[in-house]
Amino acid sequence: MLTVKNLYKSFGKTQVLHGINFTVKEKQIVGLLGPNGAGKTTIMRIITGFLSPSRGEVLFQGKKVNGEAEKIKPFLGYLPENNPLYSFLTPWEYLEFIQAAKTSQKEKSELERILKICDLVNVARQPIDTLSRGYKQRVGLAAALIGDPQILILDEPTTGLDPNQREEIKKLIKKLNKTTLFSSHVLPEVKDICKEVIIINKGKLISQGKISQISKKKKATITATIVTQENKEKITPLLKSAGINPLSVVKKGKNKIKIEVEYSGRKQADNVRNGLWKVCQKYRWQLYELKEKEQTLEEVFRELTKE
Amino acid sequence: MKRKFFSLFQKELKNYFFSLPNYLYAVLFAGIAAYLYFQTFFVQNQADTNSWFQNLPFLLLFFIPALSMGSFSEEKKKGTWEILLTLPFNELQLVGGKFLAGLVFVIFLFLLNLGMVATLAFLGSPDWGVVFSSFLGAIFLASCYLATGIFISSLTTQQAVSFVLTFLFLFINDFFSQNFFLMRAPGGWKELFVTISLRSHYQNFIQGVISLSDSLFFLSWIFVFLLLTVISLKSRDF
Repeated sequence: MLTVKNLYKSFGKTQVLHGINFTVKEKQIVGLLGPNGAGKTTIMRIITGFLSPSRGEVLFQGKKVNGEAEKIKPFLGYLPENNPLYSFLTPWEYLEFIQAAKTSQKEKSELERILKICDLVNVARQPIDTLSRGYKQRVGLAAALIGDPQILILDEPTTGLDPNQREEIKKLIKKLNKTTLFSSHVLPEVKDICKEVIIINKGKLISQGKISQISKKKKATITATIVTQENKEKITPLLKSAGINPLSVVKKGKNKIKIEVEYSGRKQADNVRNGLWKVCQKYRWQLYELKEKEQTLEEVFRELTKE
Repeated sequence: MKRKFFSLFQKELKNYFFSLPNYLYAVLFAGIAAYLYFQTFFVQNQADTNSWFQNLPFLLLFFIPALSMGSFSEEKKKGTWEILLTLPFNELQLVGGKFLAGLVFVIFLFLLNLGMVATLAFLGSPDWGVVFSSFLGAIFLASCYLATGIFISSLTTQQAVSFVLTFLFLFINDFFSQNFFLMRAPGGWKELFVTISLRSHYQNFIQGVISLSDSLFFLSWIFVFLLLTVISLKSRDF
């Protein structure tokens, strides 16, 4: 539905984006992750037509839209970073303005529907200035929903909210069931909302795909705890002779030894598990516990964006 | 299309008319203008509006930058211009909406001084042609000041910077029409200074002369500064 092709952007001599490519399919909620200054907001601003790319294309339903922002604007719902709002207006007046701008119509029932979805009915006639941060965020989200947009672009929609407010916004985004590109710093939240993520760092695309796949692509560990009278020092050569290269061998309790082995990919994980099983049988070690630990999204994110 | 633009214009009007500081400016403007006018009105013993319109450029030097200073600088500071430019609006519509709404507020400021005209009509018989041309000149002058202020406001995110720069720019322009400056200006330059000075074109209007060249000068000034504002907004890409 939305494709970003070979996107480059520079401001003066500063190159901000270096050939970004990704696709967001229909009804997908995709998380855009990256440390501060990675280029997330610039990507979103290019998609929404606020900025133009130096090179590359933004395609909406197969048609090029960059340089012709008017083509995509009516189909977009955008919540910019820091949720800027006109504080002198009430939510009702603000949404009325957005509706007139997007659809050239004044549909009271549509506004009422959106106020209801975003739970803003009770504060609809109160100046935005007097609302809590959570309500203000809802107003921003409600504005993005006006005109029944086909794509939602949400730039850090939960920044500055308390855990309860974050939870409410998260639920709301899920409930909307729309094609969404969503950026956030809060990784557990991304895991809750999105199945797919795009990770960028210093303007380059680092990884893209399902969270589970990205985590699996990275190194994970199998930890085996064995019960044996054998000396800890003798364990490593025995494991190596069986083709297993342990990351660490640590004595744990009187007769227990903890062996940690790193693996990458499903096939290697199976080999390590079988190898451990066989070596335990061969030397009559009792396999007390076997644990497999994949990297969390936080660990993957840290590893991918540390340099 | 018209409805979209009207919604923008309406929002800008609300911005001007729902602001307490703007009402304070309006009261202050009307008060000072009336004070300066009636200070000499009974001494001169003439039923004309000349002294009010003579004082007006000086007053507008302060009041217009105060009104225009936030027009884009505040939008940029708060980030709301991102909302506007990702809605189906273009830069020209944004600038047009702000300019027209500002102009409506300026006309509202002038209307606050209608009491002065009513007093004039009650006490004597003014030359209504001159009153009309003077008001027209005042609207032209205020529009030029406003267009300049909006442009300068688009260059910064600081309202105070916008105010000071607009004031300085307009003050220097006003200076070009002052006799004590023109007397000392080199011969060839004198004409140029008079030509580019807004007040010298305005003077013709308050003397009851509505000329095409003065009107075109004002309109060109407004056009150039609004166009510069559009360019300034588009330069966000660089």
